[in-house]
Amino acid sequence: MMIYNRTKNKASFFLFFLLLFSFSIHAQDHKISGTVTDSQTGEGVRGVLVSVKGSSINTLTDEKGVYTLSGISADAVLSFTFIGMKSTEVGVDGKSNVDVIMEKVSLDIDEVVVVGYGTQAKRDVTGSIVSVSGDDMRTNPGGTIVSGLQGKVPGMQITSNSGEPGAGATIQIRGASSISGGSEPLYIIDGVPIDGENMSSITGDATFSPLASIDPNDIESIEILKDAASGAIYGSRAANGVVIITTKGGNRFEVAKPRITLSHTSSIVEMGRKMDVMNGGQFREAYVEARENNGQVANQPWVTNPHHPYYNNTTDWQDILFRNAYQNVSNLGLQGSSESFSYGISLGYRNLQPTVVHTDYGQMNARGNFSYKLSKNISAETRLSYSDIDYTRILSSSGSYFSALRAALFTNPVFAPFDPLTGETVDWLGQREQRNPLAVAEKVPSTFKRNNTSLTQNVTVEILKGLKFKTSIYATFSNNEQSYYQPKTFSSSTPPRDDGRYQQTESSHLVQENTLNYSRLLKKHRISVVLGQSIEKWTSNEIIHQGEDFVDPNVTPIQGAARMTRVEQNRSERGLLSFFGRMNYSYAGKYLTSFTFRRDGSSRFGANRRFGNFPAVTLGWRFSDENFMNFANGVLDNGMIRGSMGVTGNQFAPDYAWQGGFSPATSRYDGNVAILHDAMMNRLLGWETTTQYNAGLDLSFFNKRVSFTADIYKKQSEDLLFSFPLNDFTGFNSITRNFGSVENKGFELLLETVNLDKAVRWETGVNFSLNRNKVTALPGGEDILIGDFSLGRIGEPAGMFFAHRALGVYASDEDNVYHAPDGTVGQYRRGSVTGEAFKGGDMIWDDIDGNGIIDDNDRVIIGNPHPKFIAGFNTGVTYKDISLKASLYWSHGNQVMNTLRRRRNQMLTVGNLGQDALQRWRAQGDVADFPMLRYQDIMGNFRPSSFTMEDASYIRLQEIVLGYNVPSKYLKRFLLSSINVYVSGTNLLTWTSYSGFDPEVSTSINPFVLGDDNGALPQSRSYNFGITARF
Amino acid sequence: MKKYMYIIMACLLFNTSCNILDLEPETSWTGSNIPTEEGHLNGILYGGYERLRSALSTGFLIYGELRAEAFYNNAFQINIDKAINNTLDYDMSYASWQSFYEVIKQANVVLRYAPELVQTGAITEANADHLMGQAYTLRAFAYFYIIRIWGEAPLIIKPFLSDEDLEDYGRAPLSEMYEQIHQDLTEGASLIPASNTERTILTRAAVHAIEAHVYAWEHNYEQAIISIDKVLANTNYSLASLYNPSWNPGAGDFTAQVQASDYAAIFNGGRHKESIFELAFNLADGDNTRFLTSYFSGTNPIIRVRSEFGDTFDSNDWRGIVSNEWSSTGTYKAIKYIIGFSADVDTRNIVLLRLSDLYLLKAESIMALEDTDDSRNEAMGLVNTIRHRAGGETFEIPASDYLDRNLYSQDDLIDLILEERKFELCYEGYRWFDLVRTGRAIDVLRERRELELDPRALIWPIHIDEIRRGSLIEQNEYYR
Repeated sequence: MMIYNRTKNKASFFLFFLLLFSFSIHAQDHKISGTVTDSQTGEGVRGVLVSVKGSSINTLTDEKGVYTLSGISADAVLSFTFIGMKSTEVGVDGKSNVDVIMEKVSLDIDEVVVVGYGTQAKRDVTGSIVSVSGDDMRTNPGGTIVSGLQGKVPGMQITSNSGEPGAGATIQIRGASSISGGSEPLYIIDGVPIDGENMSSITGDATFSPLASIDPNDIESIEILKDAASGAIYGSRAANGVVIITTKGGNRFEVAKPRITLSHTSSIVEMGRKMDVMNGGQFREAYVEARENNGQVANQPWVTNPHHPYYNNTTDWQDILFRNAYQNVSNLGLQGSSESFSYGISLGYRNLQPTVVHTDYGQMNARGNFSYKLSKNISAETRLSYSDIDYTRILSSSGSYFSALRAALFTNPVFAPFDPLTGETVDWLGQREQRNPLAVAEKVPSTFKRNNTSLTQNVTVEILKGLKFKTSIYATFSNNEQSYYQPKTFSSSTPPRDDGRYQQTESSHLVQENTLNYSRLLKKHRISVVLGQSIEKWTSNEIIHQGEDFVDPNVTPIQGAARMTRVEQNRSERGLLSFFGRMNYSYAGKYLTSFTFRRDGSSRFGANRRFGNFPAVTLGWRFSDENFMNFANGVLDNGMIRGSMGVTGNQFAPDYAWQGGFSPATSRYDGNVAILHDAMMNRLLGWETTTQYNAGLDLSFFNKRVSFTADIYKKQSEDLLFSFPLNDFTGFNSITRNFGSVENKGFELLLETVNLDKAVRWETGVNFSLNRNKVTALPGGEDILIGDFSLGRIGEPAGMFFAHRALGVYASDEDNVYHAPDGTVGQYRRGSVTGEAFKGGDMIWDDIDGNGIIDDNDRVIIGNPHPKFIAGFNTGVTYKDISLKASLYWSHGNQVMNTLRRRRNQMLTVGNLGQDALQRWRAQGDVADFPMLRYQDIMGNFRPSSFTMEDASYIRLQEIVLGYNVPSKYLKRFLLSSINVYVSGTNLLTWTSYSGFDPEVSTSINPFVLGDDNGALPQSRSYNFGITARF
Repeated sequence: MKKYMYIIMACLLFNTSCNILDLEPETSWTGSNIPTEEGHLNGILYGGYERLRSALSTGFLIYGELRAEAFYNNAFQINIDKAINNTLDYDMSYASWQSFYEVIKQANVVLRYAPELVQTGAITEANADHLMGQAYTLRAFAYFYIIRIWGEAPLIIKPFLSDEDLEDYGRAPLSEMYEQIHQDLTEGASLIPASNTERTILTRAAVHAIEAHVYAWEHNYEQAIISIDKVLANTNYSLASLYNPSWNPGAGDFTAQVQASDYAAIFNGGRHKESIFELAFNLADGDNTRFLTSYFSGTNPIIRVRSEFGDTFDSNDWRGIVSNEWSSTGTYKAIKYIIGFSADVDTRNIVLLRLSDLYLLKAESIMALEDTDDSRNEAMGLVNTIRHRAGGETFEIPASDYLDRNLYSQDDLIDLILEERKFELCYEGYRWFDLVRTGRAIDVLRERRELELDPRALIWPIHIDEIRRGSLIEQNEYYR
């Protein structure tokens, strides 16, 4: 089929030229031929457009790079153009053979970066922008945009929320500036802002990032705008930085033949880490002891009858619930263009089977980008994309009793998942003591489906030379469907009850945008201006059904429920109206400046607080072009000092937060609809604003062999949007408020070098960033405590761990002696004067106020969830057709509260423990670091404290990729232009002393609560094989 | 031409722009567009009842029963354990008073807006009065629970509608709280029409019943009696019947007969003529929590009746048959609410105030006021009415006994009445408050549960989050 098309194409070209030839034969009669070769490989380049200047005569080179043109004049000038190569012009000068060597475009001087509402020469950028190529995120199937960026961008800290496919991540660019839900940067895909807000699962145990809908294979480049001046053009949403994503194809009007790209990656994926657990005997002993320490007698059959075949097991439930999975990703792409039409089409399928048993994840992506010229002055673009995710999951966070992760660690090891006689999977373990997590995985399906369709249409009219008007419409529709069913067999109530849920969320986002662009080069003055206006509207409609007593536990549509226990509809809308403008001016490429202004109005804020102004200014001086720097010629290619100042905003607040609210309750009272007052008004609710100052230095030496970028910044965020917790006596939980200020300052370094550039080419990139966060204002100057231990205090970083300090373990009862200031001797007590005294085996706590009572007043700052610095290291070696790449990510100096470990040790229910509990205190006189086990932790030995806080520094070998380009001489007869194969390993090694699943962890939904590890699926490790073929 | 087009476009944009930012929710109301209609006020008031139901659905047991002597923890639930063993902790979810303040919040909104709606003509004055009367009573009822559970508490009597309304509150002295409660109840009694006879919303009789309990809690027994008499005079309420001389305790169907009695129907039928106020529970209301099921029924109820408690029921006391089921394994189960219960489809209303409670409360008040033969006769007459219903004439305490001061001192009689309340009102959320009101709690725990309770621990701790958030809120002394 393909071959047929190609021949047909060729034939039509041939006919076309015959025709041309026949017309021009009488006018001119010179004939010329030649070969176009690549300066690097020395091989012929196929598909180069060879045209005669000033005429319409042109041709393309063949597969050997050979071209022939006839009927031209002997003094004609030929121009050679090809994507990715420097165009050249050569005079014919009466010759009959002109060979041309073309150079690849070096990706520096002419490199263009995408900035808001336009592009800019990278050389002229005066803000802080980092550009990442899409090639970097394609070497493992589970890779996402977010994971692809980790460690590549100085100042960008990325923490995955979970190793689940499609899981959300906590992203901070230059520190935590917002403490509301909106610490995510703004994402712009092909010029269109999309919502980065994570979506919650129906059971509330996990979040999913809408970015998962984007196929990393479609990405051409990503730009990260870090400073406020670069982001200010996006005004109200740019406080956390802007990530601009450009997809492939359909964006250049050049003659390029159709190129087909086929790629495939297969991977074996395994859990990144297992946790240690006790074996059956160890746990039985620990449990009996924990009960005894509570004055109770453990009399369950599995305790009293250890040799019974039901109870004599040692099951590591992690082995039962986790598996090695096979994942694969395939993509088909087609790109090409002519002078008036350009297209890029892609189709991809990702099968990301998770490492948890009985789960499945499939994702389909399709995208078409088209641009076309309607007339000389009018061009237009159409972009379509569709994605579809179908995920069958089981609960993953450790919060729920049904969760796989919790079950893997907490399930009693003395039980086995299979009946010893029949070999069948049992529903319950012991005497209905615990659910069999394997049976739960099999029989409690939870599905997550999401599809997303987006359409973009824009038209650009060139009104005058250099003045363009562009109008665009963008619409995206997504539909999310989730369902869940827990059959009666797993219910612990009598009589058993089942629980089925179905939830559908439809959302749409519409954008209408108009911009006027003017750019002009007048002698040494280059000026470009953008003016624009946009309207955006978001709508979402959520329908939730919950029912019980289903007629059939296997076929569970929601109407199969005998009774509906919850029916709910919630509709929500918001709008944003914006006006913006930017002017860039440069003189002789040496003195650069830009001014940006944006005014945004949001429906989320009170009538008088609705509009916010976001100005910015930048300055740049390319001192290397000054005469006095002539001495450095040949050494210093480029040297620039940059400075910028700008204001950006954040509007992350519930849609109608300022208006307060009453809503119908989900349950009625005696048949009457009940209306609940569920939110207070806040007419003063307004923007959160961030003012950022940035200074930077760009240097490059030795013909770009060494390039160095340094940035130093200070960010002040004020009027932080926050869901402020209220006293219970108000009858409300919280109110959305502007509250407090946070400051971030730090610096970032990026050093990229080509260490060797001979037969072996060796490149390295090192980046380093350091951020210091500080709370600078709080209402009334008072401390605020969010969650169990995250403190906000003026002068301290946000979210410091505020808890008790553990000093050791009492060896015996007599060791607890308290010398009161008045000279009396007593004992340290828990909670109150009358509280229980600590005994041997209990934790020794630091009694900060010295009153002998260990209570809330004895909490102090014990740790910091912010890393001291983060760094990334990337290196690549190429020898002929072989390349080797590796990347490392380093996060240093942050602490994590290991809540999962704490909850295991608390033994609130019968749940297995870790090996560390073997070192516990057991009897009077024992000198131990680990306190006694006591069922339900009556004395609070495992309260949040320094005992459960750990250093979570880590260095991770993120990826190693070994690639091979099959030499083109072997490919030609298969009509292939290139084949690249690679093997890679992702997340191969992590060096850390952290005892949890993964030091890269953040399980709290509250962005103020940082570094809390309540248990999430760890990042998986994968071994990949991939192949990319181009035709 | 182009110019005009731009002008037209600009106008269009300007138009849409105003609309796009003035958005109001479509599936809920904002703070400024409600309440404007009678239906809104009704809904908000029912919201108050709904919140009260949520506060007491398990709360009536947790706060009213578990700390006393009836139950033991059958399900290793840590919070139940703490309540039953009287080792309360400030981080227990039950230590939070939020759900009671949600009731108050709803009531405050009704009280704030009802007069305005009368002005606008959206509601008639009579209807507004009825709503406001209930709102006053709801608020008083919620504060009465708060006083009994936590003691002093912030006194919030206006709604927090917007951020500017928020201020820091400390705990108001009890005297102020009582004053507010009485004022609210007086308003309630005057605004709620006497004609209202429903039982799932607050009526004038309910106001007086609550008032009686508040007075008794303050040991103002004269006033308590006056309030009780107002209810007793109301013909809408009458005692259910239980004892029936024609039923034979030896017969095989005797238990079934008793369990199908009029008395059992108070708890299992709903809207009984003896009931003054009950919380409505109905599956059709979308209540999917079925608390009674998990607490009482099934093979593994969360709580079970201690046999030391179950054993105290006299074999001639037919209420024992309605209250307990004794199984051959030697355990009791509280069946008062679950007779004929199919946990799958049934719910039961929870009766919070009923007539026999007032009979016995009046008896207690009389005896507390003075000890004369007359007062003994009057008080024990009431007690005997209740005992007669429970076990017939032979189950009554003869005048010769109760008038004998060697047999019963004044205190002994109060104890006897209290003991009678225990049998009559068991598992209904009265017991703990009865013990505290009469000052018997510490002794009873010592004698019957072998627990030593600090007098400062009769009230609950305030939830730790509330202490952490409110700079003026101080923890109860014992839990500091």
